[in-house]
Amino acid sequence: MENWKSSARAFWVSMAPPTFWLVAFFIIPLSLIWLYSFSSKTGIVEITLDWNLRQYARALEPVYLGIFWKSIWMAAATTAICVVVAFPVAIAIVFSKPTMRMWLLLLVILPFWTNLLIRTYALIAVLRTNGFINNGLDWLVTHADWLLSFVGLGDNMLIGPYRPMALLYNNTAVIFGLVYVHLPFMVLPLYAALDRLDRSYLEASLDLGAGHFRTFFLIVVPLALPGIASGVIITFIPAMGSYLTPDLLGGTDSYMIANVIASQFKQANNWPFGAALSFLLMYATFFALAIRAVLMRKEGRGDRR
Amino acid sequence: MSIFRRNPDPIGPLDYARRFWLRAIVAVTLFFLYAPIIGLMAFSFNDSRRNVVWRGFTTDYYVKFWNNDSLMLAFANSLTIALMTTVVSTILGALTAYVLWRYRFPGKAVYEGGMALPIVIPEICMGVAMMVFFARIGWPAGLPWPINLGSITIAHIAFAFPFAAIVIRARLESFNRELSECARDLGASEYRVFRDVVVPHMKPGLIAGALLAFTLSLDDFVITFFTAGPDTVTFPVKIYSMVRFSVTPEVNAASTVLILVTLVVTAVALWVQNRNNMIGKSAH
Amino acid sequence: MSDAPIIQIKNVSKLYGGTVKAVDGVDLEVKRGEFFALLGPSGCGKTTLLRMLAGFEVPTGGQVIIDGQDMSNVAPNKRPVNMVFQSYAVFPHMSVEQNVGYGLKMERRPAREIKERVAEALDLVKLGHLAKRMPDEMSGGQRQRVALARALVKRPKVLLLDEPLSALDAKLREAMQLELVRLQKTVGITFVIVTHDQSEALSMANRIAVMAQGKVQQVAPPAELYEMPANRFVADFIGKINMIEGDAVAAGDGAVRVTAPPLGEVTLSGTATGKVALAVRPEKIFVDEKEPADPALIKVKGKVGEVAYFGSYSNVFFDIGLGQPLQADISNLSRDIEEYTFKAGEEYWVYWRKSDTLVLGD
Repeated sequence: MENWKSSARAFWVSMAPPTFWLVAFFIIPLSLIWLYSFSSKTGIVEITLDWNLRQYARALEPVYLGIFWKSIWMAAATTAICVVVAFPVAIAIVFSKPTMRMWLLLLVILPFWTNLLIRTYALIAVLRTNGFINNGLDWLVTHADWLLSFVGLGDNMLIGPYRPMALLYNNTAVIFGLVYVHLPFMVLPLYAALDRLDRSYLEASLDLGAGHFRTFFLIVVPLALPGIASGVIITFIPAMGSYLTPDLLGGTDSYMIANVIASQFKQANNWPFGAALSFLLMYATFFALAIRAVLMRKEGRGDRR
Repeated sequence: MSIFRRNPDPIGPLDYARRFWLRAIVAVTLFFLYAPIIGLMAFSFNDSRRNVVWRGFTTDYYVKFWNNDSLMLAFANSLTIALMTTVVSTILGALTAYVLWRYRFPGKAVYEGGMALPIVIPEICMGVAMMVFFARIGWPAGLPWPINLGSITIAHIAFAFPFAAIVIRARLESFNRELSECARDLGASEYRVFRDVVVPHMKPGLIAGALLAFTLSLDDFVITFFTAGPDTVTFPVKIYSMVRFSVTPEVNAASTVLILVTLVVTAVALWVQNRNNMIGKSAH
Repeated sequence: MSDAPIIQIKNVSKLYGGTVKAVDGVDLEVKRGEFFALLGPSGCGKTTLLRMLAGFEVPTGGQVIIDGQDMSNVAPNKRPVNMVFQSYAVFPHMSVEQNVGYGLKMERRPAREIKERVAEALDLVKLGHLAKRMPDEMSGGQRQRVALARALVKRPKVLLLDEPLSALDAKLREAMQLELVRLQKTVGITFVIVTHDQSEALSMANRIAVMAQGKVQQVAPPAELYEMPANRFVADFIGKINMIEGDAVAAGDGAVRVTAPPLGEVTLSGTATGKVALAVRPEKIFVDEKEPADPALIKVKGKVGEVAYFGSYSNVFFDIGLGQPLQADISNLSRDIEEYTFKAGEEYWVYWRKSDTLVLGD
């Protein structure tokens, strides 16, 4: 790597365009809502910058704290389910033959590349009142009843008729959707962490008399902890900021913080308050990223020994 | 002896991938990931408006999609935005990658962090920021097509080019710096070195970065949703309004088309990357 | 019972992918209290065999019996053996003490017993003063001692060592060889060590199994292995040796008559017939200007080729009219430099005892 002064002209020529774009169309827009978050709404469209903290104070009102809390809680539940599901999947991928491993990784990543909106829409078709799950169960119950009629217990004497479950437009649906969308985020870091793990540690543990479960909890989990933490944070951050999933799959009480921000900018038309909420969400994101950076550095140090 | 020959390849204690319960979990997980999408695609061919029971194969909904002017306009909008985004993002991404790869300069860590910001901040924050920005500077509405797509394109470039930069920089890491020094030594100018030596090496990275920018732009909903006006509807935004309105096979058909476009672009990207890795390996 | 072998390996094979034979019909017995070495070039199947003893690889065919118990369906964590890994595999997130105590904790031993036995094991490997250290604060040699203590503290019936010295530098390796022999004598546990380094195996083991291409070539004590190799592979793999091709026919009474062109016809004790190699170690070869008269010698005229001087001896290559030269290690027995200087092109009588000559079949 050379010092920029050694060819200053080439440096400026290549540096200027991307820097301009980043500043003009990213930093300035963000700064704008940062300024808005300290402003007051003085009319239907007028906003005055008066450096007050009222918007932030309002964000601490129980209603909004509750929504923050709910976002964190939903994201945490999503992350927890993802860890539980992704761990065995990551183990299976790591211990597969190389060609199989490549295909499995590809299969896990591929849904990533499918439009988020379409994946969420696909879940609506699965979960809605006459969606795949309810219809499938209906079919099962109807046919089970039909079989029971041979032993004289038909006509819904024992089971049915099937009443469709309300699977959509509630918190469970949102968490289901968030898990569906974020699972690959968890599998990949876990895979990377387990792949780095020297297998002789596992063998040594087995050799010393530990079974597979004790080896998992006493050796694999502590040694893969930085990778697990990284996966947890990588899943948690986008889950917490989700807009589309609660919007499409959630009910009236499933609002997450991103939905509140959106409604402040659209329906409620209270930009300063929406801006304050946006920045609170961003600060939370940065906080989580900082934790991850610290953990990664720790892991890096561990690798060098 | 024969009882020891039952299995020609017995399962060892660490052959976790061959344990039944792990295989079952992987199978169920993959089913969970793919069944909804495959179901969605399959039912775009279902000859029923109710969309739940299979009533026979039809391509009616693709014909309807083809004849639906507002959907086709949204599709054309999306492709136009994606193409413009791709071109500009690739150039900006290449320059960013080049600067970060080649130079040491004061505040580089901060600069790198700034470039990573569009990748890490929540989409909703970026969406509302762009919305406020364009409202505040008074971006004119009602411009003729395709100039009216400018605001969305600008927003897309802002979040897509840092992704492209990452991909291109990864490619540059395998560049042998002695090559450019050698070219300088042989009398090439700064610009000639960049054009004749660096860019050819970057090429697979440029292609991969371009394809990534294309899919990111084509797929984006949240940021577009906040920057789009009533006359600049993109394909995902249009699908969103249809989904909100009702679940019909047309939406399935439109979704299937979008999935296939992304899939093809992704396949090409993976292929390029794979080939590029193999070239990288054989060169070392 | 105590005379029964501690390990019996009966016709054990291991196939990878159904075709590649890593271990091919191996029969072996290891005696109680022995220091046993599995020696061979890389890829000969020795590590696979060791890992089958530990239970990490499952044999495709055959039977592994440890202390009279069939191990076919016994998981690694239930076997009465412990292993020292090539990479040591000292758990980086546990202190020395916790590492050594891990195996006892798995047996759910009372805390006091664990503490006592860990201290005892650490003293045994002279690490008593480092009990609280973390592995990343220790040298490679120290980490290996942790790995040893961690395995020995379980009082296994057999201790398995997978190339334990390969990661150490030359000086430390030699010290550790002596240390391992001392340790084995102290604890009286059977050691099975895998190594590709013949000097390591010769200097440490009571008995050595030489392996090649998945098969055991010979099992013998070190001296027997060196002086009486069973076949060409073993003769060539252990130490340096000259081989002269010839044809042998039986001459009765445990003797064969060998025709080898530059040597003429010689009658030697041996059993191999047909295409054979007459083999002699370089240090058993003598050189003289005059023709020796003793009929118990094999002699041939040779012209000096390359000479390599090693201080205590010189490695001299003689051209005796064969494709490859005959090498002799001539000890430099006095300070007379003239006497032990060989010049290229000089002719000498090169000779050795018939009794030092091996007749090796394929």
